[in-house]
Amino acid sequence: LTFDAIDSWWWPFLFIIVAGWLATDMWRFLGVYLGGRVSSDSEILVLVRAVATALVAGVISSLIVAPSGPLAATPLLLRIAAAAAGFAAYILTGHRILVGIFVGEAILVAGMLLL
Amino acid sequence: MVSRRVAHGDFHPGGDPRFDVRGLRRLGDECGHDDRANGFHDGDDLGIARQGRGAINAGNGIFSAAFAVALSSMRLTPMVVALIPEMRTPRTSKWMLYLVSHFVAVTAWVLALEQMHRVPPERRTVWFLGLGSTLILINMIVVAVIYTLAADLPDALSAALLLLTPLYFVTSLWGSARERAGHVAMISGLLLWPLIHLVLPDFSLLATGVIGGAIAFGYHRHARGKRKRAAT
Repeated sequence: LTFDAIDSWWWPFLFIIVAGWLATDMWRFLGVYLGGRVSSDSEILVLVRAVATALVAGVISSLIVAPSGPLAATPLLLRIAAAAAGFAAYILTGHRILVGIFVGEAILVAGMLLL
Repeated sequence: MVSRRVAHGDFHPGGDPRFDVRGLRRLGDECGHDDRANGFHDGDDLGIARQGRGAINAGNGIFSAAFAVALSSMRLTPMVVALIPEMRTPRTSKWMLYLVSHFVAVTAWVLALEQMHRVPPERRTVWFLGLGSTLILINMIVVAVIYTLAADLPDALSAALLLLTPLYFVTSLWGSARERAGHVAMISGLLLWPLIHLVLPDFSLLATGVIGGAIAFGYHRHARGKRKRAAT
């Protein structure tokens, strides 16, 4: 039952609803259901928040280690150095996000132009 | 790249809906498979959308396509669970929470964790709805603009734009942590993903979340136990 399997006007829509909407939103709905049973100051919530934070950190890591497009053509060490420098600048300037982003970008672009 | 732009003959707005959807799909394929435009999506949705497009292009069946998308969407559950208790008031309708959950993706999640505590509780669902839909709208515009411009952008500029997302996430995620465990979780996740990706490429994000989260929670319990012992 592929995307082109059934020649009728509704089949692509059904395909998109099942594979594109239901398959992703069911996990969100499960999250709403479970989240409704957790109180906002429980230890379980600390655990769930830790898991979600580590997940998002994994996404960040993948965007730096295995990026797409022209960023993928830059050396891995340069990307890591740029991200680390940006993060260090953010910490050292008392959590200024814009400073962190600026320093990270500057290192990346300087590295690309010099290397 | 210019030659790969959408052939307008494939796209018949207002005609037979079948042509619309299939034309739309081609448009999506073109955008998604163009390396230059790739990556200018929400970091989270990118993987999921890629799974869906990949399944359609590979001619996979509806069930295996749904399975691929479901697998990469599983990670949304803990993200939603972490947000819901902060949005829910005794008067919040359940339907509103289910609606709001559709807008949970990495950018909205990080922003909410960071900023939502400043919003009065009874307005948080509406605030998040506005945030999520604004992000989707901006994202669509950015993808469209980048798609038309990408070929003419210098590499350094494209690369710099692509680095914006991880730089923004890494700083704002640190700032959004409620407790020290959040920082431990973030560092663990950053370091674990490349290692786990080598052994378990299909489950790397999920496994990073579970293992990194367990490390952070272990740290949390340990630190709390220590504080308790010190207090007595």
